[in-house]
Amino acid sequence: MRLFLIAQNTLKEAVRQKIFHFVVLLSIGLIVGSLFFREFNFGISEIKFIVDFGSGAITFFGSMLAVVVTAQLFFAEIENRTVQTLLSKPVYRAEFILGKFCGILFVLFIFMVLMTISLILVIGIREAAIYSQISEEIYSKGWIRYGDVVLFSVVQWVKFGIISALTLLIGSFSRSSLYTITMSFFLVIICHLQYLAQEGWSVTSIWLLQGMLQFFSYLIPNFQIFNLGDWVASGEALPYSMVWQAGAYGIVYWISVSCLAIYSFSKREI
Amino acid sequence: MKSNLVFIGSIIGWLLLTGILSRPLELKVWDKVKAAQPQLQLKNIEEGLGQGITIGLLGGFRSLIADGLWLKTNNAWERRDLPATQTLISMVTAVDPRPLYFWINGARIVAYDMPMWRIEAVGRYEDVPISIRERIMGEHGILALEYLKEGLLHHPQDPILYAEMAMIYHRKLNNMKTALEYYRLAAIQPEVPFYIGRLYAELLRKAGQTEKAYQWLILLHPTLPKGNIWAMPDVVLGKIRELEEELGIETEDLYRFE
Repeated sequence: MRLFLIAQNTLKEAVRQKIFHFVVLLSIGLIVGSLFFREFNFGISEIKFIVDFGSGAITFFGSMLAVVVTAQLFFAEIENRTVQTLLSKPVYRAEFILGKFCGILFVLFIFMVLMTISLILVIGIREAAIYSQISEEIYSKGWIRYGDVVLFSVVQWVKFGIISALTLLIGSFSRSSLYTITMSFFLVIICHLQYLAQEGWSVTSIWLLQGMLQFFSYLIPNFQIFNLGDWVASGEALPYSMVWQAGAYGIVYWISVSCLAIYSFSKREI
Repeated sequence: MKSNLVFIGSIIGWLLLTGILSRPLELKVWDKVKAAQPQLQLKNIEEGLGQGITIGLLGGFRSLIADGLWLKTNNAWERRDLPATQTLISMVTAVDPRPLYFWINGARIVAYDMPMWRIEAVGRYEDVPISIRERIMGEHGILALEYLKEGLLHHPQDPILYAEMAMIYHRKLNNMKTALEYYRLAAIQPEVPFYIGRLYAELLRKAGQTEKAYQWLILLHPTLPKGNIWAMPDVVLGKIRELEEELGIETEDLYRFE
């Protein structure tokens, strides 16, 4: 119950933040803008370009939001000293961290839903316009699987959850929100490069380097496995096994990193 | 100090444990993601770093950035700025190697336009000695082929890339033997455009390999769908008859079809 109240409060605070409004509006603007950006498109078909662009907006701004909102909401409690009031009541530190995490997951879920609806609407509008100009035969085949757009967004949401958990972990021992945001962005970049560490042993013969690369590949999550946008844009069916496996992988990290954040926060002097 | 070390050690230990336990799940997805995105298949660390960041962080935004860079490439092309054009062409496909359009047009600029810029920088085309012209064309032909070979890593079964390479071998390097091999490779790829099969036969004929051209066409003809204007089965049949006459094939051995 207390956890739910903290989550609810976090959600309320988040949706009041200007950064949330700004990122949401910018992302929607960009997704809708893809209808106009398509004029600059050379390499790929128009609908594919819109899906590509929309999935890019969801991934990029979602990751940004996950880092910034998490850091801001966490440090707002510490800087305003509300965390001391909160923890002096019968509220465990674990409840505080989990409540924050759940609240941020809700915020990211709202972002994901808004972006997905915008993207589907834009694709639908453009597809309808194109279909009206071409033959029934091509029309009946369809191009983009809307269900896969939704699945893609859900997988991205899971990824945003890991980013948020990692930001909470860094925030739990760092002293400033700026440091947390900077470190979290670096961590997001490094997690996208984890595959290099995982496969690096094949391009080097130095055993020490091989060992280090293996160590890093186990230490950080692989964010490239959430990279399913190309499937959706290609119109090929997104394999469901991949969706649930990527989802399960992400949830393992949600749980693991949240536990670490609780442990780290429990050691912190407030 | 000791408590800090314990703290860091326990965080690292916990993350390692999570990584080890989740590795089987990760590998199941990763193998499929990697197979579908050739740009994530590690060739060297530098390229891997670039691709990892562009794919992971930019995702679909790569299309727009590559399009912007392509516009810039065209701007440099108009100015005949050779180093800038060449750098931008590579940059476009490094950012987004998925569209075939960039590979084909980039290779054409390198193979056909750039040698002309260099030749015309020396003097009037006719005034430049043939040996120099050929050397310059050869150099750029090889550059374009290397570029297209890189494209093949991203589009391994694309007949258009093979055909483009064949054309460069044929027109720029005067290497008919290799050109024919690449046309053959193009012609046997899945979803090959119909014209490539006809073109391969025509070049075989031009190269004096009439028998081989005939054998190729009688293999090709039954695969062509009737009623498809691009397949042109009647044109191919006409060519078969022409070659039969040229080869002096006996009436009973003529190609027959259902």
